Amino acid sequence: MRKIQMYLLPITFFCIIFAGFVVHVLTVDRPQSEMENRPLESANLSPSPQEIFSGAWSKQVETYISDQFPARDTWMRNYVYFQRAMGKTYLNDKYAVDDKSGWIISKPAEAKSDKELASFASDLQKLSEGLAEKNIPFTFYSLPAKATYSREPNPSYMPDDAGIVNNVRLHELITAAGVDNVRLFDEMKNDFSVERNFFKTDHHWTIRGAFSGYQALIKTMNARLGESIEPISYEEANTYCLQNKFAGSWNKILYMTVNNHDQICYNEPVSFPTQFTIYDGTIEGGVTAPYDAVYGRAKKMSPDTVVTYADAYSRDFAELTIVNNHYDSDNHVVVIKDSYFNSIQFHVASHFKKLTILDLRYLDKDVISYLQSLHPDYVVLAYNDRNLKLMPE
Amino acid sequence: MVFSSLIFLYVFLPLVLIVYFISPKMLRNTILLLASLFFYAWGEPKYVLLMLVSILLNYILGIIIENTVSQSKRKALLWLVIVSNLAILGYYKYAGFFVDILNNYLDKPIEWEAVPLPIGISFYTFQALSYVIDVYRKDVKAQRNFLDLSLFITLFPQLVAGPIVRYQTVAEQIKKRLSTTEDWMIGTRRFVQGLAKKVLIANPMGEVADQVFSLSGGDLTTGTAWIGILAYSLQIYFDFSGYSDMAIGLARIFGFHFEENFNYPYIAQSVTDFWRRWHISLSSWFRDYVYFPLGGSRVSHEWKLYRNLLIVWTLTGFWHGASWTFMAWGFYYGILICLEKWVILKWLERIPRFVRHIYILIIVMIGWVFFRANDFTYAFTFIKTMFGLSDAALYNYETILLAKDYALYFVVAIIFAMPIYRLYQTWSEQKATASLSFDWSLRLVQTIYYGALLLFITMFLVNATHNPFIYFRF
Repeated sequence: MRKIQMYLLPITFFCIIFAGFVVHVLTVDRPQSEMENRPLESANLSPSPQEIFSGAWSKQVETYISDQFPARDTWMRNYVYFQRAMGKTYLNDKYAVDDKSGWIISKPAEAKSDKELASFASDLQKLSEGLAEKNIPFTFYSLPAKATYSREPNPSYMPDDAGIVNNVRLHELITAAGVDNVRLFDEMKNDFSVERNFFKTDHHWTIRGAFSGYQALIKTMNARLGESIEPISYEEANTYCLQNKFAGSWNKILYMTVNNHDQICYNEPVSFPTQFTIYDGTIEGGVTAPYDAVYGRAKKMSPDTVVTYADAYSRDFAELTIVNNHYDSDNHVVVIKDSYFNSIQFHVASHFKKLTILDLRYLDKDVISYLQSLHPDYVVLAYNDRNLKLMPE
Repeated sequence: MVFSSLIFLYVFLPLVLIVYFISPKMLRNTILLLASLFFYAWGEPKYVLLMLVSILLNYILGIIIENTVSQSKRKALLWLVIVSNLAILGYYKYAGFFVDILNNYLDKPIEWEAVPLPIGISFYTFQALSYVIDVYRKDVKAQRNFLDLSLFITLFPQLVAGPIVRYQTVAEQIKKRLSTTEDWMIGTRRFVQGLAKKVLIANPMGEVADQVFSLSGGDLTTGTAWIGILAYSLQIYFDFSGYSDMAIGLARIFGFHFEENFNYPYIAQSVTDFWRRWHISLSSWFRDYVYFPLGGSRVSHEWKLYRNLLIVWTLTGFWHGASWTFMAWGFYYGILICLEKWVILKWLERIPRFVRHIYILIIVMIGWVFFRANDFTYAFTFIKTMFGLSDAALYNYETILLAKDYALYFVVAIIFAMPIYRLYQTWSEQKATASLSFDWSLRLVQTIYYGALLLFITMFLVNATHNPFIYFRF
């Protein structure tokens, strides 16, 4: 006699796998993963014979199925919860979370070899020497990164993070290579607060930390340019915060599972929206952009919208040229930067006649010859101190 | 395509099951064959042809051998089959290894560009060989239907990682088989069990093992080395036995009954016992097709027995991979089995069971060090560190981090490496046959449990970054 109960398991099993297939087919594909901050694979319905026979297409389809799997983010979020329930120290093998305070701490970095650091120092030396051929002064700035200075609570058995060691050694090598450099933390350390300067759930600095960095940057630039620019005072500028929920970059990697009170704040003089002419690219390219489309787009978003650091301050442009109508110095300064600089780019621009901002991740040009062609008065390379390559990661 | 992938579980499998079960019975073998070829071609399309050539060769020579009366001609044909099959396997798997050895002695090195190893070639070559040898021995009749022989060799549940199925096991089932609701239930249960072994245990254990074995000898501590080798021992068992479970389960859903491939090897009490429980289909293949033809244990002098054992076990090691460490691993077991046959088994009988377990676990774990290490230097450093014979510290932060983060995985893995769950399953199935209400309750609970387990596995698969089957490249 056939037992009906024997059908229960195979039918349930089949229903689950078949439902997964049907939902997958019926669900509209997502172009981008917000949480993973990357484009998702799309379906390639007309592969070439070469793609098929090389196996490239099958790999693409597997990535597509995985990327577009129904409720992918929910599965991923639950996996993070599972890891937390299991007491995993570094979630997704990257970050430790202090549930009480909401701070996310990165896994300690290991000390880099001199060889690895010397490679960056050598690149900077080439850059500096290339600019010196045209008598353009150059300075390398390392900006204090959250991963380097926000280290508590660190599990007692874990070794110390080697970020500071790496950073100090890098500066030693750069100095030995004859390149002018500034370790910005040294200029900020008298008034440095991890809680104030960094987001709990994002790898960037807060506007308060960025502002301290900006002030220290201007003071050290004064000495090099022979200027006496007075940085904007934090107290004098207009400070306000958004009510929007903040999607910190590290919290996104943990699928927004960490509760926190991170908030996007601004500190900008009222003159900023009208003070600049902004070019997306070069002046010759002629494409201008309004201030509020470049900086602080989150201000126009609904309070319900979850905003990121890029929404809050500025996305990364390959090249941005800011012409200032009320400058202190008629110098043309070029800044090669990573995203740390985005929150203070207009603060720095407010002092110079022209500021060109380059992001090497997106700029498809030979750097030295391009910089020479811009004829700047001064070039700064400002990276957060976890970036140990000319091409930031 | 691997079983523990979203594309297999949520695309390939549901489609194959639907098409297979709604088709008339006369078409089902063809559908399974096409599905199997597609399954194989998915990862490496160009190697499908190689597999088909191998099948055709064995198909034709199998028939010719059966039709040949002269024993000497039959023998010559058999050698032709063996050499042809081993030549294909040798070219793809071992040529680079031998060229490297030769180049050490040549003034002008031979230029050799490494060829990628076709997936599952060791498994399907051995299956094909066993078929032709069985035909030669007149244990089975040659298969006249090319599609049926192709199905035997390519059947997707066992194609890429075994178990090595004998033709005589499935010859009748290929012709005629019944897929009952009990088969579906048992097959589904077994498949999900295997998937859970692979995804929930083997992969996390693999993360630990990879982390530890990526450390240089100088960065190892005694504690970390033990954690690493314990993790690898569990990984390789759950990975491979999980795959076998999935293969056996899937085959069962389609009405095929495969032999068991693992029988809780880590509860063995001697090396001999261990190899009766580990990768049973491979050890029995070597027993039947190498050890017995060499004379086995029925030899005129005792030294010949040990010679045969050493040959078989060195070849077993070499089957796993073209490197000296794999050969050493096989030879190591050959030596141990010889020693056991000679004297150790008698000693083992006199010592407590618990000590016998410790003995075999240590022996096996040391063996896995050779299996996992890239070279002898690292293997010996690792073993010295395990036993405190190097300058390494007892533990460091890595030891604590791994122990803390993976403690629960280790506990679960160790529990499931013992036949506790099987005991429960046997008990519950027996009780279910006696009581209808218990049967209903059992099936309901099983449905909820395995359904939830499948969803849990899906969560791991969606998140998976570390998913290769270890036995894929053998």
